[in-house]
Amino acid sequence: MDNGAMYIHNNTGWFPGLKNSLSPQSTQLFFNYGSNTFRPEIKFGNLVLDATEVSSLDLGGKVEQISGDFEIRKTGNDLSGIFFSGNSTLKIQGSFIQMGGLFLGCF
Amino acid sequence: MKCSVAEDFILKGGEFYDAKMDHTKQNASLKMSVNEDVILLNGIFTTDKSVTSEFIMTGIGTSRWIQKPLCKASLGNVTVASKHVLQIKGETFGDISKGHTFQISDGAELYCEKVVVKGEGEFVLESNAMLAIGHPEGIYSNGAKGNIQTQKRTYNSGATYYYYMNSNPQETGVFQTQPKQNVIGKLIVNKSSTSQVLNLSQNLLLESPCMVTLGDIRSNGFELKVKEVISTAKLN
Repeated sequence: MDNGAMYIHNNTGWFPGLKNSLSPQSTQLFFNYGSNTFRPEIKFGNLVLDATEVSSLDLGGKVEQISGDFEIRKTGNDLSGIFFSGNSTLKIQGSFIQMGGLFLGCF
Repeated sequence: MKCSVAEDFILKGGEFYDAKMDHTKQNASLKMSVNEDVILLNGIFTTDKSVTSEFIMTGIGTSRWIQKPLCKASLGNVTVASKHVLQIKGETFGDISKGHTFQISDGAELYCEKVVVKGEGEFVLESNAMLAIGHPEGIYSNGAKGNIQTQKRTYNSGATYYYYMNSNPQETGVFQTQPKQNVIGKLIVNKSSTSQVLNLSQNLLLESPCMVTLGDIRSNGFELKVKEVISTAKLN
């Protein structure tokens, strides 16, 4: 994906592509996701979570590299959020921006 | 978990926690490093769930901590790393929670403006760090006065104390330093205009010459001595 391009994911399945090249100013927007959606080898551009009907999700070891911004808008209902289990790492080369949802940190 | 943010940390809503704690995961912690501004406008910002979590302002350069009253912030360990300059801007600063420390590391600088740093935790100013004091009451070791009002406060005698902003007169405040009592590494006065003054609130011994860039110092009945020449500075 080139800079300025946007991909919208609206299912609980895998993020597409065995290999990905996502430019830092491309955007991957998730209206839905599941436990198999994210994989550590994907280096996201701008990663946006804007999902209304999802359960809490462990992103530990699954999301590790973001070359743009990490933006959290919605992570499901009031009790659902994202967290990172184990000794996971997350490198954000842009900004961390939270507008809603629940970021539960480590677990 | 380790998380590094090369640019800004912005909270406009939602809830941010350092750790999702339960009885089986007492050792979980978040080490989050941010290179640029921290902007807390709304929502809940909690980094004191784990006693070992740390929020680190890092990188060479200056960043700002901007916090609005609408954001409910409970801070765990906050560190300003060496060579980093943090400017507290805006209206408030989150409470440092009990059992946690706000540490200004060796070589780091904290500009408080007139904002009060408070809470049941500890404030630590290390040797060779700089604390810029804008509160009219200066800083105190005890009580609810001045820029630093955490439960425990540690001011190093090798640190730099920089008095600034437009409060007139401004007091140095009454504070103990360690390891040497009533000794400070450097004293810098840089008020907003030449007519503004800093009043001493206690005797002070300086490890190096006092630097008055703008404004004036008044003894207010106390002594200001410079260690190198062992002489009392001439004060009005």
